[in-house]
Amino acid sequence: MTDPRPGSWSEELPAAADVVVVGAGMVGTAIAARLAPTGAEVCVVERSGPAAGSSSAGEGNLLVSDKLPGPELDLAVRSLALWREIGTDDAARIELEPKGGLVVAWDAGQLGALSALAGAQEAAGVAVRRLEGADVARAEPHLNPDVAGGVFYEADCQVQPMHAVAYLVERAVAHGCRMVRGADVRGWRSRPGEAMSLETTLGSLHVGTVVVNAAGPWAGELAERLGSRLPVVPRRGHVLVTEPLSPVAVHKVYEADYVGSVRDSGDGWQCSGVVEGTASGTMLLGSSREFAGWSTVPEPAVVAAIAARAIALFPGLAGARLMRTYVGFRPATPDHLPAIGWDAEVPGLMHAAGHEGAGIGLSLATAEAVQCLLQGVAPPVAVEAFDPARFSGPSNDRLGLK
Amino acid sequence: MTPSDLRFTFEGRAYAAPPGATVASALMANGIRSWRRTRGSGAPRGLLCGIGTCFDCLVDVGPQRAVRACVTPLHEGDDVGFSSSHGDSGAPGDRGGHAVLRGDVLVVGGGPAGLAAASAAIAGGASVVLVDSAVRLGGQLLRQPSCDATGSAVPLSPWLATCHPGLSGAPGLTLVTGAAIWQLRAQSGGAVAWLDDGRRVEATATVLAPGATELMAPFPGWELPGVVSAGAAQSLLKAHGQLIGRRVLVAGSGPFLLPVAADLAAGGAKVLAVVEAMSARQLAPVAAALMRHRTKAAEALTYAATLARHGVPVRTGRMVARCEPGPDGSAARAEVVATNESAGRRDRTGSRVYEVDAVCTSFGFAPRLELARQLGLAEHHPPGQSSSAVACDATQATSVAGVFAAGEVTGVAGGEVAALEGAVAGASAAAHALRREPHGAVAGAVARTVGRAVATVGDPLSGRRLARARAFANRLSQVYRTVVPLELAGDDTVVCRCEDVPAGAIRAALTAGAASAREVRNATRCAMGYCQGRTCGPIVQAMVARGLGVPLWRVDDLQKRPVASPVPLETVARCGLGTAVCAPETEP
Repeated sequence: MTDPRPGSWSEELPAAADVVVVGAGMVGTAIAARLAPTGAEVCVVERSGPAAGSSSAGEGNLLVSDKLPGPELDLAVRSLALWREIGTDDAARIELEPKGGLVVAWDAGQLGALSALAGAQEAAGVAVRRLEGADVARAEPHLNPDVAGGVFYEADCQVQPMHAVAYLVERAVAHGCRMVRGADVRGWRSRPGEAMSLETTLGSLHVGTVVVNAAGPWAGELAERLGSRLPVVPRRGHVLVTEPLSPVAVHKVYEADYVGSVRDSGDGWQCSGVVEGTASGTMLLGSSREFAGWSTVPEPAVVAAIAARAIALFPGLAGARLMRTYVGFRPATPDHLPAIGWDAEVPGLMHAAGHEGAGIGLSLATAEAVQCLLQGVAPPVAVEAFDPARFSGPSNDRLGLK
Repeated sequence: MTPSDLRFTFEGRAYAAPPGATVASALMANGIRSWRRTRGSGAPRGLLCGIGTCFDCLVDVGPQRAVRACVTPLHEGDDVGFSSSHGDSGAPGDRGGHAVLRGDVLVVGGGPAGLAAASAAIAGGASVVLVDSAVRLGGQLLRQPSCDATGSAVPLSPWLATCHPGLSGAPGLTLVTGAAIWQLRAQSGGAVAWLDDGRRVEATATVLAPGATELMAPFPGWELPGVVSAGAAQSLLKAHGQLIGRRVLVAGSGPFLLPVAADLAAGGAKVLAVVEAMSARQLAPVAAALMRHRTKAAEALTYAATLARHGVPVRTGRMVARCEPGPDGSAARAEVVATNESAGRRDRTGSRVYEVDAVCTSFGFAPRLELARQLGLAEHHPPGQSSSAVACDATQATSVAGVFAAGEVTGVAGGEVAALEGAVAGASAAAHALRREPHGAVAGAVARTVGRAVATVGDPLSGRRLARARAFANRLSQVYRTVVPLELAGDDTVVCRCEDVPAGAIRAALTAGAASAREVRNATRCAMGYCQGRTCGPIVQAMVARGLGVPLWRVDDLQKRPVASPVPLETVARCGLGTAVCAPETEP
């Protein structure tokens, strides 16, 4: 066997780096891959391993369909454009599939609301196609014929996030980025400002320009260790994985009430049917949202509800066997929008976190925005709405952070 | 063909098999060794573990796609065909049972530990629901024939009445066989188990006795039909009187090779050799251990005598290095080479090629932990064993109140320890359950149960027997360290058989920086298939340990399985519901 350790990762901190990215999930590695080629001296500091948290516990969605018109939709559209710039070979390797998303409504009322949303998204530049009757059956032959209709979003894509993170790590490392694992950031060693230095479990590290908080659902905890506050909490979700099947769903298919459940911050859990296939033949079934702390024990009632929703969408799935389930933690903010930008109080600290369930899709545009903010130029898509400062000050409590 | 034989077709051709046959035993009885093709290359596959663990023997039966041939009973008129290794939308949904079964004690597993636990719990006055995923009770060790020499089905009840008279016709006993628990939860008030046939079991106390899985090592050609686990050969013979082949090698490491080889030889197979990876010098302490345990020594002598009578050589310090296929794609030749004692390197000078039609391989056993992990039970590392096991106190209580464990799941130690632990666990569970009984005049029963539990636990004879049996098992596991050898696997040797992941891909992931079994899985899809890493998990774990240069126990394993057994989505969708309650009679 070859030397096991010549890979991208090490467990030794460099003495110093211009840019220290904390977190090697989708967002952190996208930032590293974006900044390293610009000549910046970048170091990614990760306490576990690549894609160890939320990035490996979702479905790999790159969606515009679930975004309300506004800054997040703009960011999603921009991000998808960046994803599409990835070359054919790399796209195949990371299983980037432009499969398109089909949002379905069960009755006329839902369909009307969905159609209105689609109209607003269309006005924001998203390609939408309203489907009814035989058109729905043509798009998804195994879909329950009882659906009233749907809207097809050709821009929606899927990616295998673990492979995508590995790809981004390779690109970053090829441009001199240092990847350090096993380093948990404890706090500042010296006061931020002129001579910033981070204290980690693997020793300390001088920071030239900025520490980027890309710690996903742990971003709030990291912000606190670095002397600030960021209202990011874990919003748990379940995914069910079936046995490999002969093709069932052609596109990503989900119920129209999904969009509403993303923005509902109520107690208890919500479930909305999401069904999609993967390159390996398994089906991924979602989705649920709940504030359940960090518990990794699946909730039987939620698992049952997701299975029931999937069968409602695709009755042929009734006999398909469930192979495994997993839970993941979406990094959620009170207004369900990410925090991208300089910390309002601590100089030298920038946040790129709180994307809730959209971090995979939004990662590349988030990285681009981080680069622009560091260079002091305006990003292609306005990011004022994501300014972490919106959570600062006396109004913070009113945002309903639990 | 006798009149009672079952008729079936395979790929359109008509065959017959004796009653009680599984699809696998029926196919093997007709000389068919392969009935699955891999999704990628379409390579042939057949039987591997023989007891429903590995999902290598997937087969299509009528409208059902990708069912396990080794545990699926054959029915008259079945239309059996090659599986293309995936399920199908539109397959039949759940099996329609939505009953809730209630008992004081849930016993998981019907092997030596589970049966002893059920007996002791019944004797302690508790009602018991015993669940075993196999169609017939007994587990691997006590597996009973399904049909006799005349081709008639053999009922299980006379055997049960002999070995566990307390269970025979016991009014408080509910037997659930042929259904697997896919989800298990325990709270302070009791446990809930969800079965893959849609039923649910609720109990105050639980005895976990799910047994062990067999360890196998990858070598070139181990994926060929005809290369099976030693346990598969044994269960095929015990349950169905069916030989795995006519010219057989039994190879690997561990005491289990001997009874399997002896059974096969006595059953009429030409056992070419028992190939044991350990050298004679390494095995010397076994003799010392046997000297101190007379019944085990007698057992070993029986095997030795049987092997000698049939002229079966035991070749120590050797391993099967590769298998090659014959014209039908199944194993036809096996090359046996010397194991280098120090580094496990191959020394080709002693190489010998055997013409075979089956190779039975085993490298020991590891506890089945998926249900223990679902419950979050504390674990420990038994000395000499590669896998962790459920930690228990002297009453077999685990770290979770009301949950007891017995047998291999607490550390692989064989059937005698399992049965003794099972008796203790069953008595403890009954005492726990009846003490917690919220209403009813149960004071007398409680007193009796507690008395019996203490008697069992504190019985100096059975306590000493258990200590002796454990000591023997410990000595044995110190000799046969259950370490899966990896050096024979070439880069193109398949490791994950469900997802067709070769050793080279796993090595490449380690080279690229993966630092845990989980990261290797995420990078390669190993352990993500039907068996969820039951077969390749220990191999991947050993590869990670070697790749990182760390001890095996420091590497994460892949036994966390929130779904312990594949279950139809329709059954999952109903798992919050209960439509009928069937409580066993609990009044004396």
